[in-house]
Amino acid sequence: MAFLEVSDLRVSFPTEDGLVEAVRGVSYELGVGETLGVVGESGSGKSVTHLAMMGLLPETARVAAGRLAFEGEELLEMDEARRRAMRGKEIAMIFQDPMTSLNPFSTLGTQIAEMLRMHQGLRGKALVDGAVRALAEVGIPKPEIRIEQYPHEFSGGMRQRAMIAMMLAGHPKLLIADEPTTALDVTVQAQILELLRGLQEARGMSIILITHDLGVVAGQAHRVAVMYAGRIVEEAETRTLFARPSHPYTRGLLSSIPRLDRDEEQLVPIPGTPPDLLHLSGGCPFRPRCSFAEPACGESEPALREIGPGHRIACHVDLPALLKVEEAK
Amino acid sequence: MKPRSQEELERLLSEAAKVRGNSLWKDAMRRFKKNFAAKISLWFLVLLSLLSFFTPLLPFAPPARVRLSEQFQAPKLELIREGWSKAEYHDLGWLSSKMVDLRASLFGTKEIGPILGTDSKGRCLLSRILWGGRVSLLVGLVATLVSLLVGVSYGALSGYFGGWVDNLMMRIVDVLYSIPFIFLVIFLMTVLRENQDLLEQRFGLDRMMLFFAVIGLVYWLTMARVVRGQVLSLKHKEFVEAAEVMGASTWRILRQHLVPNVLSIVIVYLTLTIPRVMLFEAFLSFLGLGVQPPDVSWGILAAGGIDAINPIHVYWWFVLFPGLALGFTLVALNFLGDGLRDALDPKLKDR
Amino acid sequence: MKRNRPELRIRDLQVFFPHKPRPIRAVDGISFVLHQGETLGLVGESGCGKSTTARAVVGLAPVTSGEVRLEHPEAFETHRGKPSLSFRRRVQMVFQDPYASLDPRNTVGQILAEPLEIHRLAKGKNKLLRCTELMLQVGLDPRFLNRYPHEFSGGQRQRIGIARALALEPEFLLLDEPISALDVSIQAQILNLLQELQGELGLAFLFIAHDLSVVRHLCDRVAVMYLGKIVEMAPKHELFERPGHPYTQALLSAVPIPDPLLEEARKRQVLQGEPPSPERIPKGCAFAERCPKVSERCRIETPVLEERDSSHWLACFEV
Repeated sequence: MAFLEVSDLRVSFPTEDGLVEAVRGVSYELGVGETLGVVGESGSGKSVTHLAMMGLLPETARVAAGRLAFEGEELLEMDEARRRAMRGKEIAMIFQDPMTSLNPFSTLGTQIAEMLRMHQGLRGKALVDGAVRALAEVGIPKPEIRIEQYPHEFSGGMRQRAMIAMMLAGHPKLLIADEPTTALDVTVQAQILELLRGLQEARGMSIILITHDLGVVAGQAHRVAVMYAGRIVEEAETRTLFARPSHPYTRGLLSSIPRLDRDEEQLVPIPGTPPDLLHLSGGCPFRPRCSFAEPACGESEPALREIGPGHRIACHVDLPALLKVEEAK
Repeated sequence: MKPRSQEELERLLSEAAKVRGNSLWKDAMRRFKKNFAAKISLWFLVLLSLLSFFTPLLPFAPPARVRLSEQFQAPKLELIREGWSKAEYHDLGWLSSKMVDLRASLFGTKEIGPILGTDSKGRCLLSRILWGGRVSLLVGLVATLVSLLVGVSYGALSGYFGGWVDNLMMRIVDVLYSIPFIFLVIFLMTVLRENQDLLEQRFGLDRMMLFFAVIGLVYWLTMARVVRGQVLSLKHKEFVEAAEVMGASTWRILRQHLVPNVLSIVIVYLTLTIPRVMLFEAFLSFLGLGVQPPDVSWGILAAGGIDAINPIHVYWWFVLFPGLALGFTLVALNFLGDGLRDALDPKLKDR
Repeated sequence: MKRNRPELRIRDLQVFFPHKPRPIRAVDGISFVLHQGETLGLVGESGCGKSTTARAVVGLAPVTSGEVRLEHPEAFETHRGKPSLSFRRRVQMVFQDPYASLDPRNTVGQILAEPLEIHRLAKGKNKLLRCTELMLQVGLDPRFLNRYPHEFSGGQRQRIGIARALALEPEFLLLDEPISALDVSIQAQILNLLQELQGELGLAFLFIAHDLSVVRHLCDRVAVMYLGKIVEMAPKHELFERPGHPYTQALLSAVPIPDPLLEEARKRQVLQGEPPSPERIPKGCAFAERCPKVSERCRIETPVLEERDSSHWLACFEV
């Protein structure tokens, strides 16, 4: 039994222009103490997938799955009470904007204390000490003073740490981090990522790290899943993915981003624009932008298939073989 | 990219001319059309306006004709009868007068009977509702227009200039806001009434127009605030900054960028102000401060309606029909305003 | 003395914003030169003043002191906050947000025509032809001239923004984080477009960004800012391979690289603390409280930007 098992997750939204299928069959597994990097651009469905997991989508969203199990328990069959109990205690989520989780009208101390009281049953002096400790654990200096302050008195990086402290107060086993550092300066980003690594080691926590930044996953994740148009198109151990990217989209992404450590002669952009989820044609959604497309790609959407140990891609084309032939020429 | 020849550019240009983009207005119209209540309301108001405009042309009884022999008649289905005469109208404007003349030649002395009943002086209620509607709708329109012109200019300038200018202008608005409107209007109307003849001779303003203007001057304040707020937030948008970087003059920025983007909120606000103005007029006329007999407005009718309720005879038609007329109109305006607001909501389409 | 090539010279620029108890020193005395055809990258984290610098150059932020000077063979233009129309013809700006930088109520044609109208460069049919030409230049189908911004994607809107900036045929283009708001797969398209345009039109770019990988790719020279001052300025390879200032070093070490083996092997220099806000700039070197090489002198005196090697400028006592 995997720690987190996702099988054929689907999410759709009715909009005034029609039904949008934001997530179209996502499946993966996550182990204890593992970090999974989920990479994608806007419209890939990477955030919606995990909001659905947490039950945080609006009422109008339709969520369905073959299986969505956390430690064996089916998430979609839970009632609201159980869901709420799980949130924070077992699964927690942090976001790009800490102000989505922080109440601007109460002090940090009050907010963290509320979490500690709810999830750890602390009271009185133990509660105050717990709050101070929680802030210290995320690297906020002078926590005794900070607990009396309001979120607006914190800088961006501090707020992010405060949100992490709050969300981790219940010692969750799984942390879903949705673009936690995208809005932060690069030096602060490095601090936060280091903090998350440290917390993971100390607590044996699993992390799902959602981002669009391939550099971030390279340094943080054990495994990476690349999403496009609501599905996973490639999944592998981090080293494998970067050494042998086998889906045209993954390759396209890697050749189009400039690197800090070397000069690129030419960036090779992926032509075209991200897909319109309202009007997906029958075949592979990446086809309009793919330089390796074959006739089969227009007919049916490829399913995930294994091409190596722990390495899956959703593609009709055998890219590695194709590239070997190119190289041989 | 290779340089293009003149001919090629011209060809592309002519193709471009065939393409019409979907402006935000078009999108808004599309959304509006999906709103059933708003559409019905719009039709209702259009029909009502047309009916009001052409009232002098239509074969109704004169609204101010007193016939004590027919007083307090309940509604009866007497569709056509004789007895109409052009002489029983007064104070008609040029256009109305021409329309009545035309009516005379079309329908002669025939008129539509008291199908909604008569009032305490025997005047036809149906006719009074229609003629009253003209006044009430006109008040709504003119007063709102005045508030629009004053409010938008004031608010836009205040918002764009910002700084101490904005502060000063808004403090003035605050002060004016704190004066209870009723006192202001009563004061102005009283003063104006005393000097009515003078104003009429000197400036050619009749009391009706004055009344409209006074109401408009009272209602511009909120419009100014709303526009100023919108301009303040627009001012810092990057597309305004881009225009500044290019060297656009203040005038150009106001005209090209600020006003069109404020327009949608102004339109919504307009349609929601009209009912308030109409109610205000009804209220004032009810108090005897607005429209004076023999002119009639829905407010006067409402006042008359109250007299109608006494324990002996309940002249229910006095209250019901004017009430329905005013009620439906206000509801329609509100639905229209809501529909416009939902349609024009400036949420960018895709992000 | 007349110059042969046009240059944009910023001299001792200071931009202060009124505030209590002390004004905010967003830009605190910086100087640099942008030569025709070159790309200068201006990098730094939030609050460093890089955007404010660009805004001051085009007149969107007040110039408290110092000078912005444009020198070209015909004459020179100076401004201290209010650029003249002829300055604006030669120095234009591309904005960050492709959604907010275009007026949603104007067609693309109207957006592109506006600079031509303001500067009276073309009228009637010629104006429209020029707009058509501009669209082609940035890779857009000119048949969409009558469409509205919301009918285009983010990347296309940014192209429109670039076309608009090019309408006046400027020599200097200031780009304020022009690709940060775009999807990753689109960023490369726009970067390539910018390089192409630079080659074709001989433009000089002042490229403001926080993404150092992009800066490495695009820029010839780079200036690093911290709290309103330039702390290091050098040609690209010098800066990236031999960074002198401790802040630059920390900055470079914090940038993630899409290579897991490299990431693991890297020695991270994780800075403690955060940049102090521009409201409370400390005495001495602004970086002192976070600097691994700080000394007593750093806390008292403020280092000045000086040229160390050829073209490599540094403001530090300890290096």
